[in-house]
Amino acid sequence: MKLIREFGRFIWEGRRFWLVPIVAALVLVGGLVVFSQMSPLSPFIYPFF
Amino acid sequence: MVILGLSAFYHDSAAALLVDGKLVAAAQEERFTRIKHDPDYPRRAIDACLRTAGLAPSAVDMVAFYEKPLLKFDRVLNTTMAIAPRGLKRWNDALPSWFLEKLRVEDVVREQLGFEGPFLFAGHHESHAASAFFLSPFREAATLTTDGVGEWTTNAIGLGRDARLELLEEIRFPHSMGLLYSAFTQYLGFKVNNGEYKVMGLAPYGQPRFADVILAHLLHLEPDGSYRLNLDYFAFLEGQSTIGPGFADLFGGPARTPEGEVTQRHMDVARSIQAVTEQVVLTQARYVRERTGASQLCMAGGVALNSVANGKLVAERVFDDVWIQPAAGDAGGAIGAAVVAWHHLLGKPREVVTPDGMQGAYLGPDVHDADVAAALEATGLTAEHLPDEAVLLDRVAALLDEGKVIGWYQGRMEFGPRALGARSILADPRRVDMQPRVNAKIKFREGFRPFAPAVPEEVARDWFDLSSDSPYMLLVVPVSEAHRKPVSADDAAKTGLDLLWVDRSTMPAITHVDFSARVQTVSAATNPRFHALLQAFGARTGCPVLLNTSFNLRGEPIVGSPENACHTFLASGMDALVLGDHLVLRPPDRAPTGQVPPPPVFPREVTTQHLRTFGLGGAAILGTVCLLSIWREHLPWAAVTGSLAVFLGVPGALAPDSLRPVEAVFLRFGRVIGHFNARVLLTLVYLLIATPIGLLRRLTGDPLADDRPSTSGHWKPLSNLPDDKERYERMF
Repeated sequence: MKLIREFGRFIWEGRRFWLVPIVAALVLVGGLVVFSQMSPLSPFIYPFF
Repeated sequence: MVILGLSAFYHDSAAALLVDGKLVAAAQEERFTRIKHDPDYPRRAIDACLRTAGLAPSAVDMVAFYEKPLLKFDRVLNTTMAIAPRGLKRWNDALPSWFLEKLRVEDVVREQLGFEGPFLFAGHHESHAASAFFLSPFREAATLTTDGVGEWTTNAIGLGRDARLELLEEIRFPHSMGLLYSAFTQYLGFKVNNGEYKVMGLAPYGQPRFADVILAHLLHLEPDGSYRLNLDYFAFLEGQSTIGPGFADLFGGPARTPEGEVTQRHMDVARSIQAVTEQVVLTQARYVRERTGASQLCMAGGVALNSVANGKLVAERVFDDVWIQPAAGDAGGAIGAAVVAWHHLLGKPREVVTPDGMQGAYLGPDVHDADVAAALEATGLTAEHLPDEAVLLDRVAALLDEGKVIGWYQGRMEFGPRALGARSILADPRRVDMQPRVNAKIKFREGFRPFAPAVPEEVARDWFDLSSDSPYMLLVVPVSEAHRKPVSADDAAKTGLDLLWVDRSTMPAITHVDFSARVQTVSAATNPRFHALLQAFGARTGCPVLLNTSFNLRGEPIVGSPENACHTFLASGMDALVLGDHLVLRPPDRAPTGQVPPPPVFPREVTTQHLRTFGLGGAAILGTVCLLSIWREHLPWAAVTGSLAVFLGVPGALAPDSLRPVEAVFLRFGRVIGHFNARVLLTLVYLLIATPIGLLRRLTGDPLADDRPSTSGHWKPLSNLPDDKERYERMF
């Protein structure tokens, strides 16, 4: 959560609004990558995303 | 107050430990994993630092990381979008590691260390500058930091006074002296981030006939030392190569292949980029003096390891005194982040230490007799135990005098890229054949590479034209006139590698072809045993100078344990090995093998709980598929999935550890498919979202342009936030 909050502040303070769609998409993909790596169920999750 | 400074996830991962403001330990991960420039989480380096300080992980009060991850991620996104759609490969290669580690650095460290205290982020160049200024012997000094790139900054000027350091001006990516030097490193057939020393070592064989070409086409240098690269000739934005297509045409031929012949043209190119680098460093230093009014200078960043440029800077007396952080590369950022936390965040006063706060850079693990005994047993070597130091040193000096090459493993390991007489290979510098011999038969490396001398600091000026001490081997200076020999007309006419065999001084093995040497002045205060050995050798031979090169073979990190030292000794053509008080002579039946054992493989740590979740979770997923298949009347599929659910669920509940091999196979299979799927998803995001935004931004100007008003030339102002918790907790 801290990471998403930091992204939000970074975009807001730097007026980098063009980053919003990219970051939103990457949060989704990144979340999958992280979950698939960190979870004991990763062998089952890997093939499905 | 225990502060752990960390540098990780790019290259040269390292840890540094600050206890009540004193640097007590620092180590680089590569020494333990045996992976050169290891970028991974520095688990073993952290363990080594804590062990050295006699502390448990729970004793750490604060962790400080050496850069701001979000700012760096912003640069990666901007760069790949600025060149869209050509940035796809870089995007796909880079982003997974950002999700897994680089953006999650705080979580990764907390998980690995079991740490719940404050976690801070210092800036990359702030860490470099702090590692130089706060450890220096100066109460007030300017800082100049230059590297490939940090977050955005590639070059920064600062001013330090007592416990406060402020960065004043910067040059930003993609304009970078570090990346320019790396481009030539690649062009000359050496590895980027590794072979820059080789370019510097090759330069004295050549003439700077391409320097004007570089300044006319590649680098626009302002009178204040700021610059712009002509990006048409570079490819580092794409991330696949540093040099662009037109680069080679400027220098009369294609890039050298890694094992290709080194020609006079290559030597001239090396000399040319070295000359330009020296010009930039000197021009910047003059500007820094004028801009800050300081009379002393501290330097760090990878370019500060260019000891030839450093030697010229000191000789030119641009500043009254210069101090360079010995771990000037990214590893040293671990120290910088920790001292930033101590002085800026905690507001602790600074005690200026003389000669400096680095303790000779002997900050790594010590030698322990038990480890030596275990290493000797594991490698089948026998040693003579010589607890009387005078006897030991006399024996070693005699062996060196006989022309033997000796592995020297003593005391605490050095922090930084240089071997300073703790993990060194030593030899007699008076022999003209010693330089080619150590290159070819001991280290198995390129014949042109020079070796450095170590000399007791109190007699250093009798042998070298030094205007200040050089304890960290960071200054290249001339061999003194008194020790040079006249060069015959025949020898003077020689070129290229033929110059190697010219007997040009009383210490030909450490005198480079231009009569220069990268000197280490050894202090009895920081390394008494090495100092005493130099004296013993001097007493025997009249020459208190030894050839000192790092204890490793080509392409290997410096040895990190007595066992590494024994393996490297056996692989190379060294004649003897000294491990603490133990002297090992090469057994006649152990000819050099030429190869050290491969790096150890550290197995994945899989807990029983992890395996239980794997078994039961897998059974639940497969069981659900089985029930759905029964409902849809796909009975063969239901039988398969139901059997697999039982196969995983029963051992998962009763004996989870029995699932270890099954989990490993599943994981390998899943990773292959997952890797492919992740790339498909990332490609879609890049092409459908990042590329259109990148193209639109390009319509309105150059997305990488730094439009802020300049203070001078291309120098841009840096605004420093207040030294509060908020500044260092933020990831940008």
